[in-house]
Amino acid sequence: MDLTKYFENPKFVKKMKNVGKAALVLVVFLDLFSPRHPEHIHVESDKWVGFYAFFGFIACYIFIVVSKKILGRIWLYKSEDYYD
Amino acid sequence: MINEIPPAFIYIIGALAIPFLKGALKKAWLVAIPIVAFINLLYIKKGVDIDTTVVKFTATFLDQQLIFGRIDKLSVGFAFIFILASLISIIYALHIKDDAHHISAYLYVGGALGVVFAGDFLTLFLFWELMAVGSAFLVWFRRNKMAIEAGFRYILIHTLGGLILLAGIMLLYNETGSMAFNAIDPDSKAFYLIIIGLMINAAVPPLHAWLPDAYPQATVPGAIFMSAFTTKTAVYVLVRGFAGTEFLVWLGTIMMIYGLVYAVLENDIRRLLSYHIISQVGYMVAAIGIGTDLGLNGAVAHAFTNILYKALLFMAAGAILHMTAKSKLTELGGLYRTMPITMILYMIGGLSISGFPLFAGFVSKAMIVSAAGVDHRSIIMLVLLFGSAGTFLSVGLKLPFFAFFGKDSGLRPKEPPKNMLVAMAITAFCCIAIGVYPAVLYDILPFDVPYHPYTYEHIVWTMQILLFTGVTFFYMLKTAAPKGYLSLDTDWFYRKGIKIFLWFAFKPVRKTNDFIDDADVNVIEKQTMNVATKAKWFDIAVVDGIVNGVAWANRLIAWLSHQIDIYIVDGLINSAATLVNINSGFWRKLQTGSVQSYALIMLAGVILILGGLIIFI
Repeated sequence: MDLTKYFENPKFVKKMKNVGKAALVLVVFLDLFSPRHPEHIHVESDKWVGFYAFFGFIACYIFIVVSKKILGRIWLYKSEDYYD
Repeated sequence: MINEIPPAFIYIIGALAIPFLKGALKKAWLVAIPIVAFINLLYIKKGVDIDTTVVKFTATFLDQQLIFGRIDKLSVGFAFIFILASLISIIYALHIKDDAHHISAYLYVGGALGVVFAGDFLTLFLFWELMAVGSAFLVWFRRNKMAIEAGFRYILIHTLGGLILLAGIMLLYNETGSMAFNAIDPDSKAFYLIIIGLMINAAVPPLHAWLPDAYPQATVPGAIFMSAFTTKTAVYVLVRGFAGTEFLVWLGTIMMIYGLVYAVLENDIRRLLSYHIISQVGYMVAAIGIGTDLGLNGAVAHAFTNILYKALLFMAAGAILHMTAKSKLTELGGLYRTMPITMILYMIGGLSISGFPLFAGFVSKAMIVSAAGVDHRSIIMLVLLFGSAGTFLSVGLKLPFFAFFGKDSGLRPKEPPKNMLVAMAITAFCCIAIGVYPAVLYDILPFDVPYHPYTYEHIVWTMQILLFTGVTFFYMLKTAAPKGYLSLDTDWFYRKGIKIFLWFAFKPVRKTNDFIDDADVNVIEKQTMNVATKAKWFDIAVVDGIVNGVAWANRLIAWLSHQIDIYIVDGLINSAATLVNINSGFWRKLQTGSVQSYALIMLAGVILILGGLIIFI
């Protein structure tokens, strides 16, 4: 199996990026039709269209910033031979 | 053909026969053991009503009834998944020539199955310890300095955990008079000791550091075995003994986030996946804390799917390590060129753990999130969803991007050996099968709760979280990139902290100790000599001085008294005698012996007296 012919082809990569962008739009669009039955709603935010898109975006941002930029940089990161 | 025996013994007896076999026969034997255990389990299950608890295989030891076969839906379900995991793992390990590696792996699996079927705590404890020992060897067999040291830390922590568990069991026996392994009374003192012992094996922070310390140091196939059994047997015992313990909800949720934070920081691929074990077990622990039927079903389902996709991820990461001898993301990159099959199989695991629809993680994680929602725990539910983003970030995006794509490392490894690929392919198939047809999983869950993961909104919302996590990742690629650092964790306390402790032990404490050890010289001999020297000086200077002084004083007094005797006393006596002599010589002349003289003297006396009277009157 040789995947280089795909991933080293700029056209294919560009097409993949477009597919990705289309998917982002699609999942938010499809949320308009979510049934939102009251017995399946546990949180107020479940009623807002596209809330979980925003939620995922922010969650990932918080993970990267809090881990790497805050905890890692000021406290947890040590050189690799720290315990030797 | 196969008589019913506890499945644990099939592994233990089977392991002991391994050194007597050679070549293809040995490989056939290794693969046959899980298959025989599987058939045996079907026989055991066939004879009993699975919805009630049936007790089999009992023995008496020290007046205690040991129960090797408590058969119900929960134990049988775990046994199925453990046997499947051992089959996958042993296929992955078939190229290993070291008999001892296979033996310790199967003793470890035997221990896990023994725990699952144990009906009393004494039996449970025996198999618990067998697991600890078997798995420690899987670390040591890597046979380098780091692995040997990590293995020792691992076995020490698990020995400690085992002892705490044993103390809890003894206390329980003392309180209730029974060793039966059932739900434990939360008001009993044994409750806390037992749960701490279990939390060490379930890797609940801050008792978790053994896991990301030891697993990345284990042998490549050893880590597959370890990823499946230790934490999940702890989950099993928690489900049975501690369902509905409120603080587990919070501990599990914290644990889930904790693992994710460290996974974002991590550079070593197998350590990154180890932190994800902690994170995934966090979901299960939280679900056990929720304790509803749906929650417990979710915990068990998640344990099952987690064993599969975590094994798959560890197998793919192990394949990279096996073929390149490298495990740091900063040293890898561009591997998709020569390891495309490994990459695809890894991604199936990655999509499963992230909970993409049609993959195994989706159908089990959804149960736990729903259980939190149905139980009106909105914050917990949102935090669990928050965790989905972190899981996809590290396992689904960061690791594959920087290992298989990213900057080209120039490494051109081949695909791993066939047995490894076969094991990975079987696991990947199971992950997709469960995702597509969740009934195979739901049928073996302990409680009868209908659940439908594939609702419209659930699919859409999950895809929103995951895809937009991807947006942030590519947007922050530079910050998210792995860095060549090590992250501090609570193992600091016994790796660095111990050095501070040792400094204390070697410097002040040891000095005092040496001083005390040399007490006969320092205290007794030296001080006695000191005292003796002082006493001698005291003797010479003071005692002798006093004695001599007294003697001299005596002599002086004697001399003085002698002088007084001679001059004063004798003088007085002599002078008195002389005076008497002189006096008597004078008065002798008065003694004439004639009456006329005496009469004259008397007359003179009378006249003197009368004259005196006349003068005075």
